[in-house]
Amino acid sequence: MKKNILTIACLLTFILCFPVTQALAHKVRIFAYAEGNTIVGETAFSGGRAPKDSEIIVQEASSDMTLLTTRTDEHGEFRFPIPEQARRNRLDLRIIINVGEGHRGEWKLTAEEYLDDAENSETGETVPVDTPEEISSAAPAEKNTPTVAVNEELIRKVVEDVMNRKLGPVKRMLAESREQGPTLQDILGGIGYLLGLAGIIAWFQSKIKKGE
Amino acid sequence: MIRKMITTGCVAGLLLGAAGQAMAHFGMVITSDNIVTQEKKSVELTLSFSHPFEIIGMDLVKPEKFYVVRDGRKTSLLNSLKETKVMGHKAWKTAYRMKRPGVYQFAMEPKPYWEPAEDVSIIHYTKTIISAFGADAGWDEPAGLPTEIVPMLRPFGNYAGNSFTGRVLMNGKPVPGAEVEVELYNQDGSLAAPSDHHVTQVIKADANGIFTFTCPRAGWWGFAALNEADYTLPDPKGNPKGVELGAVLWIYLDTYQTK
Repeated sequence: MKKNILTIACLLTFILCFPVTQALAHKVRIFAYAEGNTIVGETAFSGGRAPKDSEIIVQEASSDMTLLTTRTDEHGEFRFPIPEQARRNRLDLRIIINVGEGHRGEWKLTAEEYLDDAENSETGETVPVDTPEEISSAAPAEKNTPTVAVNEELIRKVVEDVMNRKLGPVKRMLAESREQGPTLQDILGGIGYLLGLAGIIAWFQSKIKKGE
Repeated sequence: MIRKMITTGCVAGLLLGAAGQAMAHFGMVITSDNIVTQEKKSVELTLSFSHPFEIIGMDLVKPEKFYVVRDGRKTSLLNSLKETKVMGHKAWKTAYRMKRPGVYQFAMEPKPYWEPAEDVSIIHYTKTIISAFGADAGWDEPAGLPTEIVPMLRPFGNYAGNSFTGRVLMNGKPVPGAEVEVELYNQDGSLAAPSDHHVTQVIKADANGIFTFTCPRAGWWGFAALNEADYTLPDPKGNPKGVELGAVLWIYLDTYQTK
């Protein structure tokens, strides 16, 4: 009985505490890219503060075999030459920062990425993609593709709805268009009235003339 | 005869009134994602000029400028823009691949749009803010637009129902009492508004140019702070006319996922 309670208590502690530490606010992020024959990385806590002198573990992604370890400098950055073994066997790398207490981040750097970069020896700066079409077909966007989301039918319907509402009761429109001072449409409407009045005057004048 | 004239005058006035009831214009910079991860390192960007809730488009001529700002560095993307259609009207798209972690602000400075119904030229300086590879510093920096909304709520990683707070700047200075129009991008066209007032919601900034608006639904939300420029631009006939400057910011709100 006592044993059972202890076990449950232990389990509860484990279940309750472990996810909590995982969800701590100070998340640590890691990012790495190749610069020539060197892999360069940067790490940061959320908000931008740098984890200094923290352990970096470089593993082979599929087997978790550790290839090397290194440490961050005072800017949270690190660099190491591409391991010969990794280059020869085109190994994908998992680069991990572990600062303890559940502060752990990892970045996967595929052989393709670091070998490509090594071959092109790019600067690692941002560049716009030249071939947008390729990207869009390779990875369809989930959230939005505004160009295809709307068909003509729908637009027509929306326009009709709006027009119906706009040409609805005269009273409502007058009320709506009176919200602010005189606008262009008020002025033009006013000109219409003036034309109408001018018409009345002209009509009366012609009558008067006829009367003479 | 008189009757006809009066009627014509009235009808003309009313029709113009209806046209002038134009819904709010929004410059739009919409991206395929606003959080870029290791799995998908690039975003597609679509630039348009539209009525986002009613899904009514207008032609957007090629913008004056389109660029990305990261760590205070501007990179022009104007030459990468390709013509496309949004809501049946001319729009622009491109794709951008992030190579480094960072907070990327994409900003469009359009050419002035002459709006006869309002008798003004409209320039909507429009931006959206994307986080790449976990970076979360720099979203509260201005992108350096002539007028813009600087977020005070981190503009990515938010849920429907969160309150957005932003500060309206004009030439780098807060705009007291700025009027901000708010619209949800009714992307799949499934939503209808109970009244015209619901299509474009309006909030005023406080004395420091700060406003807060709670977004009740997931999706893209556009905030447009509108101010009259202190200069004029010629209309198509060459007469000097007022200019409406819009500071437009688009943010995306997500829903909770289930395990």
